[in-house]
Amino acid sequence: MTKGSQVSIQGIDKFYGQSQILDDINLEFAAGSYVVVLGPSGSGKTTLLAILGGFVEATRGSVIIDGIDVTSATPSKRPTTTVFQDYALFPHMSVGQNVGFGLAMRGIKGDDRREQVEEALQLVGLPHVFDRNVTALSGGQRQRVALARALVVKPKVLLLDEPLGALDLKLRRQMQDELAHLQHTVGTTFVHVTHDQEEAMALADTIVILRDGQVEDAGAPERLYTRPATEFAAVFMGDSNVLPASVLKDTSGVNVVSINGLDVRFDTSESAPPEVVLSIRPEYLRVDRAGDVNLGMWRVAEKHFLGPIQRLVLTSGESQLNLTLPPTHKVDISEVIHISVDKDSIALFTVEGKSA
Amino acid sequence: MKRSALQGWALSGPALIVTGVLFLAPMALVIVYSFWQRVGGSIDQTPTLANYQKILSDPTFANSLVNSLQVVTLTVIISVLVAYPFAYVIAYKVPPKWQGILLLLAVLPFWTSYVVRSYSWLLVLAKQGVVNNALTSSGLISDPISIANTRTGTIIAFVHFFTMVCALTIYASLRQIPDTYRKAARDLGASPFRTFVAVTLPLSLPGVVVGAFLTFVLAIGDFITPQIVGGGNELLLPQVIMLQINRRGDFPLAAALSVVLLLLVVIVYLISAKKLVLRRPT
Amino acid sequence: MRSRWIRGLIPALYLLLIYSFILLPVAVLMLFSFQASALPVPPFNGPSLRWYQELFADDRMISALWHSMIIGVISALIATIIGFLAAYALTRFRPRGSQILRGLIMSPLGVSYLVIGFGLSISANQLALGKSLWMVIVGHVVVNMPLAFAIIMSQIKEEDISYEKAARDLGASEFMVISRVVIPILSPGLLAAFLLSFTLSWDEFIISLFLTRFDVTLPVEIWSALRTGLNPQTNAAGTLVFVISVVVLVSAYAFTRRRKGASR
Repeated sequence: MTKGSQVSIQGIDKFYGQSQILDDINLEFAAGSYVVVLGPSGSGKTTLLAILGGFVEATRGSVIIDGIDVTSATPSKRPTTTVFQDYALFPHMSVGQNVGFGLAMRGIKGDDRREQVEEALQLVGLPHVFDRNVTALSGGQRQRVALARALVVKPKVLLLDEPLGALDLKLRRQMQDELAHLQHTVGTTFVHVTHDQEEAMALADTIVILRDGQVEDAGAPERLYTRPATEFAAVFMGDSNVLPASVLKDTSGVNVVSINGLDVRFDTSESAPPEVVLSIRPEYLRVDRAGDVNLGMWRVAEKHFLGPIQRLVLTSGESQLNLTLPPTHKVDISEVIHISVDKDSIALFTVEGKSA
Repeated sequence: MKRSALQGWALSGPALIVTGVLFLAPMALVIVYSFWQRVGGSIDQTPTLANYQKILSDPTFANSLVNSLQVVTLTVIISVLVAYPFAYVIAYKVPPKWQGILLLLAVLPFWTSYVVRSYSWLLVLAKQGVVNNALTSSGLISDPISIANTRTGTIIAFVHFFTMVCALTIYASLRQIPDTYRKAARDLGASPFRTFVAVTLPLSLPGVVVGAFLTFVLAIGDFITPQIVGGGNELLLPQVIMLQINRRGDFPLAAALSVVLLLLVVIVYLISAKKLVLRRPT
Repeated sequence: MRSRWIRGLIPALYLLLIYSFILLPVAVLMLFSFQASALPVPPFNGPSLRWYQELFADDRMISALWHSMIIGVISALIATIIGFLAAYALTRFRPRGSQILRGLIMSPLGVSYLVIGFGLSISANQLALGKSLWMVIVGHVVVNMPLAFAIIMSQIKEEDISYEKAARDLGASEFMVISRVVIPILSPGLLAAFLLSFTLSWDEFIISLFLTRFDVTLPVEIWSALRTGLNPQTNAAGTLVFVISVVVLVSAYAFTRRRKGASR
């Protein structure tokens, strides 16, 4: 079992000609943690991973692993290995030869090599495929072989480039569990790139949200979900109701948030700007009057049964809310119900999307 | 289902007619001819192995066969060796947007007439030609050397053309290898050289085999280059066949020699058939 | 950093070397087509258009040129159409034994042109058909159709079948499906097959030699001319062939670009 390594990303910029792909990325990954870099396409997450792996040279900045600056090291000299999106298993070699490739490059031969390969295959749950040709394996099996190949050389950091993208839903969920388990077993620091926020939350100790080459937010999944730092993070991680609002001073000088188009007011802190954006998760809305903030009467416009929950679309005038409820809660379309929410569950953002 | 099968046959009909009537039938006739004999001014149609016996016993024919195999094998080897680094550099060291133009530039010279191009080689390699001119005037040699009208000339002219053919097939198979394979090898600690030997080379072999096979098939049956550039000193199989047809009018013998030529190609095909399928990496 | 620069130098030098080798005979060819004196060998004395004048005055050459062009266009057209129909039939209808059919259609590719030409000429003899330019068209269709077939086969994709299904679903007849959907989608492949067939026919020598007698194609005419001795007129002919080939391909390329632009 390898002890994980601490990764430090300092001031990374990446330009391709005139276009900037990454802008001043500064991140610290704790040793042995499972880090997920999350973002939409074009966010720069794949480029960041390539820079960590040494396949792309950053325009500025450095990558430091366990205190050693590896910024100018080539992939073969870096203490990282990568699991590629297409697995990149050598089609002309058997499973054993594939997994043993890195060991062969390090001069490990014969029985010693075979033993380590068998151990790695055991670790990923494929004990009997040593002599099979990789083209005969299923997608899930190839994924595991790719993992075994990357882990057998005991890297300090394992990089995964959208490893579960090619798998169907059930297999993906299963592999997520196995990846989490694997990471705990070997202890290596994992850096995993994905656009799937559910995957991120399922696996990560730390999530980094990238958008247009910048870090939107970074932290533990729970914090990111309940207290997102930016509007983008709020909307990207799970569903969110977004409502524009204004902040006015009432007669006693207290700031009051007034949601546009609704007769709703509540107090807020001193430092709110005049125009704000509210974000409320669907599951935090209550269909009773027990919440701090009374959101008034809403009509049920749509009802969707989704299995474990039901999703309602509510309307009031021009405004619309998404609400989720357990299916046991009976509600009819066109019914008018009372909605409220706790003040703690409302996130306030400036018009530019930053936390207010 | 029935209707579609019928339509299928109807649409492929013309192609099958062309193949059957215009290709297979003439080929069958050639084979039949090879068992006939030219006697006097006409053709004796009693089946006989006389032509084949003559080919095996007469040294002219045996020699031409051996010469052809030697020349073509050398051509294949040299062309592949020259073409591989060329294709590799274009595939991996040249920015993608320039690759097409560079390939085009390599192919362009071959849009000149084959006959004229062969004569150009004759001129380039002749005693008063460009090459000898350059060698004598720079003082490297004192007397011009004879390259034209020799086997060397034939091989040079062949290699000139087939390097381009092999470069194209090797380039295609190199580009087929996903970038991530080579990245993975480097990532696992392989040096650029070891990456090439362990990953790139094996996966590009189908392209090499296709190029080599094409080169063999086209070269072994080529008449123009050995005739024009190689001259009449050493005769290769195609030249011997043409001799039987034009000078001696012995069609049956020419047919038998053609059958031998075909057999050579079939044998080489059977040897390389397994490797000829381009493996698509999944 | 310094070692990386040198690593780029050796490949570049190799490329330069090979390109020099490849371009050498062609450069010499084109240079000496402008030779002033009678022999296309060094020394090169001054540029002169004398041989081009003689070329265009040479009736046999010019008519051979026309023959080659017409034969090229006709045989390429026939080869492409027949090859396309077969490729379409085999991929969409999958009649039984299509593997064998494929092998059969492609079989001429393994046979030397010399043998094909010889076979066709003795067959023509047997049928008491004389040698003619029509026979050359036949010969060129035989050798080019498998190539056209192979090119188009490689271009027909499984995914495109949904376009055809959609067209049929909307009521198109088989003919409409082929003409309005299949052919437009395949047009780059069809064009490539046509151009390759044309280029190969245009420069084809040995089959033409076997199957012509009085009216000949350009390569055969050049060959005959060269039998009497080297002269720069054939250099001019070769250069002309080259220029025509380049013009045809460049204009085809420009044509497809403009079509792509219009359909956007």
